[in-house]
Amino acid sequence: VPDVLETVRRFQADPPAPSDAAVARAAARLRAEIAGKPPRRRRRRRLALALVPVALVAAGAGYALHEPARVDVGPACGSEGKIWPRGMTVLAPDSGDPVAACAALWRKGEVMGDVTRHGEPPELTACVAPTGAVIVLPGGGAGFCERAGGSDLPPGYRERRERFAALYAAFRARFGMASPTFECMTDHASAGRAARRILEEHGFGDWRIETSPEPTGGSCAAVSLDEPRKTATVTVHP
Amino acid sequence: MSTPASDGEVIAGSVREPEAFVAIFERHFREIHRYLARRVGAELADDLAAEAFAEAFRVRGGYRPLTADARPWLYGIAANLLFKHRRGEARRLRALARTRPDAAHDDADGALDRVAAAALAPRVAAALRALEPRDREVLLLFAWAELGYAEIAVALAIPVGTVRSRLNRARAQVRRELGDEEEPGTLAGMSGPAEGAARA
Repeated sequence: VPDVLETVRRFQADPPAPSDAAVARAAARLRAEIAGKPPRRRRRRRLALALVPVALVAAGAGYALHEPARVDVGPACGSEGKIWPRGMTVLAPDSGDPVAACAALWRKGEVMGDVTRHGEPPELTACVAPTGAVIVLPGGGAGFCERAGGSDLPPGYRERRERFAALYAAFRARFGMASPTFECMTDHASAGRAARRILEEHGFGDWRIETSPEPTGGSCAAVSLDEPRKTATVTVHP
Repeated sequence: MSTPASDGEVIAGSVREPEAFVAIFERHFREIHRYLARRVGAELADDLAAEAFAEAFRVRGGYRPLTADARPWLYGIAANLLFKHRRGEARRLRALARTRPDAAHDDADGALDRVAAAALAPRVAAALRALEPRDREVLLLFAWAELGYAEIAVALAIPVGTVRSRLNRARAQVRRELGDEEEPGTLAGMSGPAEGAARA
């Protein structure tokens, strides 16, 4: 069997390096941004979070497709009233009520896509995509989510979101380097113990902890939370 | 000797001292550009890479360092920009898929792999183009950006399990497009006699 990954790796393997002029232009662009003088062609649409649109829509694919009752917890704000909007902004799991959080982004004009206006948001409704992701879309009324291609939020979603948000915040406080309580752990054992303690303190004692052989690219442990699989993955640079 | 600040520390510090963010540019610009150039060509990569770092600076206040370096975050921004240019990428892959292999020009010493790669390139392009964009994103972040599962999960804001399932799906699809037809003499087969024999 041919090594598919190696074949893909060799494809377009030697792209031209950026010219000195291109690097200089990019540096100048960044410095203009730093100086608060972005070029005039800067788009009005802004990313509230640097995440991929549609990524969250697909979150849980592979689980949710077979178990449509599952709902991923990190919500997204969609720019139009259909479950596959042209633009989305993904929210952090601890962003609070999804509709309120998305309304705040609409006011600032920061919902990705064709949204350029600022001001009062339209009516917003939280729906569940077929993949299980929660997306807040402009629109409302009876049957809106179904017409948009999704379904209504299941009972208990709010409680589940709030529990997971608290868990996420606890992990961020411990493992997120921007946190004042950040602690750099450099081995799987101590990071795993810390993760287990956080899980149990927040009532997620039935979660599994996996260790990933993939390096973090640095020296401190990182944790990713997979809510559908009830798994916390601890990654430590070897 | 002092230890260089991590990306997370630099970005956190740049919230108060914006100029510090230049260090992130210096550390990672060429790598991000290289990835973008492979995806959309060098010319558009110039613009997108510049935009990626300007965007990263603008949203740095929301940076959540679940990984120790900023590469997954930066690749996530780059992927976001690429998504907006997905039609351009599809056109580029279509053009590459139509390119006739021209191995005769690649006659430098030790060029066996490059010859094989050139011969297989149109089929690889077609296979990548046939992938769902979200599957292609995961595959190329893994194969080209060399991110691990957890890092891709951070970059794309998806669970690690979803990364695994998308990567498996993408690999299987590319294998179907390439593998069943491959014979010694193609990229995989040309890499050494032992591999060719093993496949037979």
